[in-house]
Amino acid sequence: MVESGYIRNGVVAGAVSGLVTATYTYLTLPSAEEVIDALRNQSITVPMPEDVLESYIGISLMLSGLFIVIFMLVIGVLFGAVHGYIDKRSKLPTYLTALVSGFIFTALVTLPNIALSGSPSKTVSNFAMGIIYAIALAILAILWDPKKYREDIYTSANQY
Amino acid sequence: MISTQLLYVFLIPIFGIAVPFYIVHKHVGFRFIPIVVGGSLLFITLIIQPPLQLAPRDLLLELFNEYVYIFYSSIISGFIQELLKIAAILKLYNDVRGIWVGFGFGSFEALLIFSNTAIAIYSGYDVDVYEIIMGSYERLIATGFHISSTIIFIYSMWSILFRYLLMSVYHAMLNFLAIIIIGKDILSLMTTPTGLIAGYAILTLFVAPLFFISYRMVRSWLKADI
Repeated sequence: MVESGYIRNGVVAGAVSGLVTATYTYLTLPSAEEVIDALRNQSITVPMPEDVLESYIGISLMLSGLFIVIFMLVIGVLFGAVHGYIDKRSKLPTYLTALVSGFIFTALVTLPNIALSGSPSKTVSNFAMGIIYAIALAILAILWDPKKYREDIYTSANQY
Repeated sequence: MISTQLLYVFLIPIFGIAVPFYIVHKHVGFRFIPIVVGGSLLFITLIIQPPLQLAPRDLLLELFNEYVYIFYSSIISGFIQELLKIAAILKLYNDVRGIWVGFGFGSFEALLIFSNTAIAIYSGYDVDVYEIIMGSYERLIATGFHISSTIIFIYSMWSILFRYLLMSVYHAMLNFLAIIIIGKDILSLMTTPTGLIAGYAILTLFVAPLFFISYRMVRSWLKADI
């Protein structure tokens, strides 16, 4: 169910970026003990017995890649809509507006970490995730012009 | 015991997603994309909000006390979440579809809490059944709040700035109340089931005027069954 070509492209770019990031995440996955140590180092206390916490973190780590893919698919919808919004209000080529919306997303996932001295590896992986999304969206805008999507066919049949 | 608790966890999506969905869908045509946009706004919140909340944590705890820090965190969450919602409403869905954005925000939040609680219980964490039941009710209030705030953003005649400030402050106060009454148990209510109900009743009373105001705003077309 796609509302416009922009959202369609956003979802596909999100899937590409999500799959690449999830693969990288699984390849560099820390162990549950390492995460617990990191929490201890940051003086973060979790109100759970240690064995339960270890099992909880283990399951969460196992699901982290899946969560990243879902996250990027959902984010793809929003930034696809943002791409459409920017594209309809500027005279720039579609692939450039795709890059602009991708860069906005990249800034959003990277800048809070940089400004507040977050983990460097997290900053790099978030930056890579955003850049892959931006490039994928720009390539899609060239190959699969969102302006040519026949929105009228869809919306006329589904008007509320 | 774990399997019983896991069954009760399904009350979270029932109260936080299914019940609000039924109520909204009764009056508004189903729109899938605005729901996902609402959910993605929640995901953006999860990226922006924690660093801003954690940044002055040590300073606030050192200068003041825990409650000042909780108040600050509530203010940050209220203002950021409402900013994202009002931006999406005004720029993308400034019509009836916007109601689904609020529903999406609340339902994705319920989905996250559901998965988090389910994993915790599956890992062996012992959660009281009453807490799960009342937590599910809290999701109903939360999703209702997000739907009501989007209704106010779309249909109220107040200025955009006033709408934003009003909803942000209301949201922040609701979060603050929820944390100090439920999380910190400042009134010592959370130890018995009756106390739990009393605690959630206070939250319900706080959020009820907002539900009433938003209902008044859409009452005419609800009655006309549009």
